[in-house]
Amino acid sequence: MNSFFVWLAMVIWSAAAVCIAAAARRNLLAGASEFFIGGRRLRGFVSGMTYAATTYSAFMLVGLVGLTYKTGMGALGFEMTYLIFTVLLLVTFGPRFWLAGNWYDHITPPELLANRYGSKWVGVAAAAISFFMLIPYASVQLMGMGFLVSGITGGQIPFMTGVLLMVALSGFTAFWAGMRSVAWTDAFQAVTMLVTSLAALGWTLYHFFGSPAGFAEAASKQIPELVTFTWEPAFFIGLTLPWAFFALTNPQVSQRMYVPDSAGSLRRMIIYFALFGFVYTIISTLFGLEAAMLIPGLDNPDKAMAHMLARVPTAMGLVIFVGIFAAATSTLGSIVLTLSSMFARDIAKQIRPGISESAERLLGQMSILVLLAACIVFAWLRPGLITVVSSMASGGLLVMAPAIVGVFFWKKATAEGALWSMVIGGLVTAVMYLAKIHPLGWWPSVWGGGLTVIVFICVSLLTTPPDNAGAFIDRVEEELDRHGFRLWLGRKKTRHPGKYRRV
Amino acid sequence: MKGSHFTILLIVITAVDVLVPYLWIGGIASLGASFLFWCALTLAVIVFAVAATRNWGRPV
Repeated sequence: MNSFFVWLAMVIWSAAAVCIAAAARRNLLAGASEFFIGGRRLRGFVSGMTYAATTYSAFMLVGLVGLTYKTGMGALGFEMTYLIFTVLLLVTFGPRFWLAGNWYDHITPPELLANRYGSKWVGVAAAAISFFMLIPYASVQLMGMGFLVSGITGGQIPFMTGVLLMVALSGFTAFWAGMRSVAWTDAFQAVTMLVTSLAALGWTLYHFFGSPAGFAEAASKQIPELVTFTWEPAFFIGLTLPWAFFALTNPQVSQRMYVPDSAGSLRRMIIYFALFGFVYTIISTLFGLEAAMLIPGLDNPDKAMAHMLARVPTAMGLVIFVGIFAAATSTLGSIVLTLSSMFARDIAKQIRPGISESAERLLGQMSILVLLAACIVFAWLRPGLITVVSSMASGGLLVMAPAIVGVFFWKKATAEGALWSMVIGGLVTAVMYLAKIHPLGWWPSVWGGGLTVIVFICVSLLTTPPDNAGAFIDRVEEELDRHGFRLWLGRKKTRHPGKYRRV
Repeated sequence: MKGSHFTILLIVITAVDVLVPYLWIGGIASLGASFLFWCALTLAVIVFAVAATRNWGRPV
C-alpha cells in the first residue's frame, strides 16, 4: 500500500482524535479523581465505549483473526466465553465497585483492596503486579502497530515511526486531560473500530463470496476443519480462564466501574459494552474464516489480516487499518493512564501520605511520560522475552481475583490471605510461564489460579480479618437495595422511574 | 446480583458453554453448529443482563 495514503489516514484520524481530546479538556476540573477517573461524571454511552475500546485492542483484528485462521471455531468460543463472564461479572461487581468507590473516594482498584483489607501492602502488591504485567502488554500494542505500519507499506514507513506516532497520540490524550479525554477519544475510537470493521466485513462478504449465505456455504465446504470445534480442553481452559476474570483483574478495565455518573449510566455502560463486544467478536472471527479461504497456507497466522488488507481496494484497506490503529491506540492510552493513577495513588501516596491532590495529579502526569518512554524502549529493543511476558499478563493478573472477590463476598478474608495469595500465586505463575512449565499439559494460569485460591482461603482462615470487614460488606449489601441495584428477581415493580446520581 | 445467585448462574452457564460444544455439536462442520451456539448463548446472557438490571437507578 502506498505510504502516502497510510500517512494521510493516520494524520486525518489523529487530528480528529486530538480535537476531541482538546474539547474534553474544557470540562476538566481540579483534583486527582477528576484527572484519573473523570470525576465520576461520565455518561453511559461514553463509559460503555471507553470500556469497549480499552478491552478490545489490536489483538482482535490481528491476533483473534490469526487464531481463527489457524484453529477455527475454538477462537470464537474462547472470546464469547470471555464476554459472557465479563457481562455477568459487571452485573455483579459493577454496582459494588461503584458504590464503594463513591463512599471512599477510591481512584484505583488496588486502593479498594487496601481499604477493605486495612493494609497498604495489599494495595502496593496489587499495583506492583499490575505494573509488571501491563507494561510489556502495552509495549506489545506498540510493537504490533509498528509491524503493521511497516508491513502494509513494504517498509516505506519504518517500524519506529509507527511506534512513535502511536505513543504521541496515546500520550497526548492521557496527559492532556486524563480520563476525560481518554474516554471521549475512546468513544470516537470505538465507533471507528465498529463502523470500519463492519463496512470492511460487509464489503468482503459480498465481493468475495456473493453474500453472507454464500460465505457460510463456502466455509462448510472449503474449511470444514475450521468450522468445527477442535480445541483440546487443556488449551481451551488454559487460554480462557485468565480472560474470563479479565473484568476484575485488569485494573485498566476494573477502574472503569468507578466512572459512570449514576446507576443508570453504569447499566448503560454494561449494555453498550456487551453489544459492542458481541458484534466485534463475530466480525473478527468471520475475518479469520474469510482469510482461511482466500489466502490459505500462511506460515504466520498473525499476518492473515495484513494479507487481507493487500487483497482489498486501497480505500477499504485504509478503513480496516484505521480501525486497528484506533483499537491499539485506545488500549495503550487507557493502560498508561491507569498505571499512572496507580503510581500516584497506590505507591507515591503510600510513601508520602500528605501529598496534595494537585501534586498527586502532577506525579501521575509525569509517570505517563516515564511509562511511555519505557514502552518505547521495550518496543525498540524488541526482546524475545517480551512476548512471553505479555502473554502471561492475563494469567499473572488472575492471581488478584480471589482477593477482589473476597472484598465483597467473604467476611473472613484477611489482609494476609490477600497479600500472600497474590505474591505466591504471582511468583509461581510467572516462573511457570518464563520456564514454560506445563504440568500434566495444563497452563500456568490454571495452576497459578488454583494455588492462589488455596493460599487465599488457608491463610485467611489462619489469620484475623480486619475489624471493618463485616461492616464493609453489610453496608454494601444494604446500599445495593437502597440504590435499586437488586436484579428484578424477587423485586416489586416501581412506578417512580426517578434516577439516583451520586451516592 | 447476590453472590450465591452469581455463583449458580456462572456454574450453569459455564457447563452449558463448554459441554454442549465438546459433547454434542463441536464436530458438525457448519456455521449453524458451534458458531451459532456460542453466538446464541452470548446473546441470551446479554438479554438476561438487560432485563435483570432494568430497575437500576430507580428508587425502591
